[in-house]
Amino acid sequence: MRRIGFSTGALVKGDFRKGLELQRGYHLKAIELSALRERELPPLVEGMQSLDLSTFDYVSIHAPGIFHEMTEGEVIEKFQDIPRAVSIVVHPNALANLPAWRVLGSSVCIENMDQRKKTGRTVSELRPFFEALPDAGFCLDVGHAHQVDPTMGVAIELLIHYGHLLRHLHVSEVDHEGKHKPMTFVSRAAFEKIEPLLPDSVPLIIESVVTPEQMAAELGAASEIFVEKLSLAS
Amino acid sequence: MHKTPYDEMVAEFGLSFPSIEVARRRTDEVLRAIAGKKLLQAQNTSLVLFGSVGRREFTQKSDLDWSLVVDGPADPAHAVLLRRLRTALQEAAPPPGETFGSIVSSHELMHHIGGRHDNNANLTVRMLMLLESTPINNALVHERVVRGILERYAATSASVAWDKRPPEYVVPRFLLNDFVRYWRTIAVDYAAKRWEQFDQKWAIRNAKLRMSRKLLFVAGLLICFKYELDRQRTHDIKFDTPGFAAQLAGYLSDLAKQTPIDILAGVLLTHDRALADEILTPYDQFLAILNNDDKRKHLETLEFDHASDDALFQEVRGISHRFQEGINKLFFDADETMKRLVRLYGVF
Repeated sequence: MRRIGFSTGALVKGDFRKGLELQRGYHLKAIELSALRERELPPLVEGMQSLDLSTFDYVSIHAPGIFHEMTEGEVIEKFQDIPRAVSIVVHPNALANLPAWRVLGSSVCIENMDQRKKTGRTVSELRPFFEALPDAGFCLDVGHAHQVDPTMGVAIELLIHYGHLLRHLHVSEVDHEGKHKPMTFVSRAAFEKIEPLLPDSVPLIIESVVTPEQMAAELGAASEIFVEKLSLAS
Repeated sequence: MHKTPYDEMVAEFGLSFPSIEVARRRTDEVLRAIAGKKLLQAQNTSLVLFGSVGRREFTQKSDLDWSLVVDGPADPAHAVLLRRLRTALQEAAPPPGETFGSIVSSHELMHHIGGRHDNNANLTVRMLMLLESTPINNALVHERVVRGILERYAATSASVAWDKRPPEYVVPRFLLNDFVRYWRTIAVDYAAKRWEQFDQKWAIRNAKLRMSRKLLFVAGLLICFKYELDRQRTHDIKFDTPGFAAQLAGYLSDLAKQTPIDILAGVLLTHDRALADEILTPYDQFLAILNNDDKRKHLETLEFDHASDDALFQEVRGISHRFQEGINKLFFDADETMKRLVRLYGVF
């Protein structure tokens, strides 16, 4: 059965502890701790030791999407204190010094990007990143892939080329401005097209920005497609 | 720039087509000049070029056919952007004809395929998006629209039996029917324009119909047949998954990125030098005529009643007949698979 959980950043911006607590009541097996904003990274890394993550089988951290206050080298150094079993999701467009990330080995997980970014959106745009980081895994953001190509052809091509590296999924609907929203009929119908290509062992992280009251509905929507596999067409 | 199927074909067969090569170089110069203008752009829009630039066949007096393709929320500012683009692009080449130089919404291109809303202009832009378009900016938006259109065709081409067993032939019949429809529409419109415009410019239109428009049709047919013609298939589509139409659309979209000459050259590469020469030499001669200012002007002003005695027009007719003979050989004689596909899908 597919492990499923939320990104803390989708539930509460800038407070991973609160985002974690909100998930406790749902008995979820996967979680992503968000440090998408740079200032979130130092307290997250320093606080990791004290977090009770024992109920989760799969833990990932989302690296900052942009480096302003810290250098890329400082960010990499911070991540060296994180256990290797934890996946570190990176935005390829944020990486300037690719060889420097090799030190993190297989913890690095490269995510495909949305249409606003200038790279990292398609198979060919991701190729140089996987070539430079041969131990890296792949995080398929189905919302990004859907925004880039609503037919899901790009998502299928990403799975054909990088499916063997697939570490986990990011799931949400991404609107035309690149904002992560709760799934609607359109995105759910599109995501159904790729579900048969996804091994059950690959965990799923929901990135839809939802209120605590909306969590159950979004979990239900993601489960219908990716866990229970109910077809919207039926 | 990477090698195109045309480059590979001329290298493989030791052929040279000087006018095709001049036109391709000239197109690249035009594209560089436009790219150098650093034109304004907006999210979810793409400035797309069609016509001779899209085919990489730009000659001295070619128009610059372009549209602003919008694939996202409509915005009144798009009209302002359009005006600014018109001004900027006027410096590069003569302005576009009535079909171009405007905003094109992806909604009509994707949703109005057939049915009462699919008018002549919509059919034309949709077909040209697939057969001879190239984006100047936001290539991802252009590709997204092309994939969306192609997925419509791919999904509707599926047979009821495809979910039970893999199809015997992967030929997107709905798309093929629309390419046929477009080719016949151009041919009918040629006659209509002669009627409406009292034979003005009829000879140049006639020449284009016999050559560049026919090549578009050839490219359309080859896009539809290519999956079956590919002997070393690198793109295996999983027909038992809900995403098969998106996969087929992706495959077709990769083909649609090529120019008609490249699509043809990719198929000719699997044949012999003689056939490639037989088809492309007349095409090269046609482009040489279009690229000659005097000859082009002559064809633009030639009166219908004088055509039977006109040396240049008779030369064009001869060229077009040789081109036709080569095309006939490719589709009806040279290849067993092609013959079978034409028989199965070409007419009935």
